[in-house]
Amino acid sequence: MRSALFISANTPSMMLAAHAYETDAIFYDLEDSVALSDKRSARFLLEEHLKTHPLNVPSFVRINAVDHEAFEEDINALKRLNHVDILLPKASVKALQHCLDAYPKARIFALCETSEVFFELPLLAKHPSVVGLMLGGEDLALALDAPKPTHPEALLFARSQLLYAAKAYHKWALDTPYTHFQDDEGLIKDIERAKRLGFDGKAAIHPSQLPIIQSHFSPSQDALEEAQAIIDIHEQTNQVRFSYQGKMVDQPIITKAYRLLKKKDAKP
Amino acid sequence: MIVSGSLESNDCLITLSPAETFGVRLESVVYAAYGKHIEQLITKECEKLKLTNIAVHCQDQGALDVTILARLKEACAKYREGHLHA
Repeated sequence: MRSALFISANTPSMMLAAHAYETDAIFYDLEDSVALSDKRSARFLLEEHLKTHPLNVPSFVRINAVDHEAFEEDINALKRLNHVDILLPKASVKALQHCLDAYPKARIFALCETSEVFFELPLLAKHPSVVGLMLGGEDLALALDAPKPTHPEALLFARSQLLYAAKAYHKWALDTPYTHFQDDEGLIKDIERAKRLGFDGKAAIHPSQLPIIQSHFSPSQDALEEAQAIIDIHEQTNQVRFSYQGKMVDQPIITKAYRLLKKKDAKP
Repeated sequence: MIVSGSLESNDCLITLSPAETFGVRLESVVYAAYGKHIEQLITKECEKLKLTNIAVHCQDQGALDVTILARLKEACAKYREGHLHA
C-alpha cells in the first residue's frame, strides 16, 4: 500500500472523481473536513455514493472519534452499507475496543495521533482487526507542542515507534500527509525520509500528490529485476548463501527479494 | 425555509418552503439534457419521503442522481426536525 487519498465525504465533485485516481486506497472523511452541522449530510452523501459507485480500490471511512457525538450515527451508516473498513481517528486500545463493540466486523486502520497511543502501540498493532497504522502528524505535533510534521526531525520518535509496531505484527505503516500540497519538492523530501525509515506509503490530501507518492513508493525496475534474479538463483540452486553481481546474498536478502515482489501490487 | 447542499460544481442546493401543494422548480446547468429526469427523480423521492405541501427548489450544478437524493434526504431530515418554521 503506497498511497491513500483523503476525500471529504461532503464534497460531491471529489466523490465523483474518486474512481479516476491512481491510488491504493481511498479514505472517505466524515471527521475533520466536515463541519459538525454537515455531518449527517455527509453521511447521506457517502451512503448514496457507495451504494451505487463501489470502488475497485479499498475504501476506508474516517469516522468521528469514539467520544464524538457523531460516532454512533457514523457507525450506523456503515452498518447500513455493510462497509467494514474504518480509519479510526484518535486510536487507542480503548477506542479500538469501543469501535469493535459497536461494529464487530470492522477492519481498522488505526490513526495514531495522540501522545497516549504511543505507550500502547504494540497492543494496537497486534489486534487482528487492525490492518495498519497511520501517523496523524498534525494532531500529534499539536499535542506535543512539536514543530510541524514537515520539519525533518519532527516526530522522529513517533514515526520510528509506529514503524516498529507495524512491522512487528506485519501491518501496514502509512506516513502522515504532507499538507503543503503545491510544494512537490518538499513532498519528495518528506517521502524520502519516510522511505528511509521503512514506511510502506503515505497518505495524500490532494490528488496532485498521488503520482509522486505512488512512484516514489514503487520499487524501481532495477530493484525488481535484481529481486527476481536473486530468487531465480535461490530456487534453481537451493542455496541460501551465494554471490550476485559482487554482493554477498544470504537469507535476509532472499527474504527481502520475495517481499519486494509480493508487496509490489499489494493493497490493504 | 430549509436548505441543503451547495452551489459547488457537481452539487446542488435544495430549498424546501411551505406550499399549498407539492411542486418542483428546477434550475440546472444540464436542464436541456436531464431536466425532466431530475424533476421526476425529485418528485419520486419526495413521494417516498412523504413530503407534501412543500415547494422544492433545486439549483443543480451538474449533480449526479445520488447527490440529489442525498441532499433531498438531508433537507427532509431537517424538515422532520421542524426546522421549516424555525
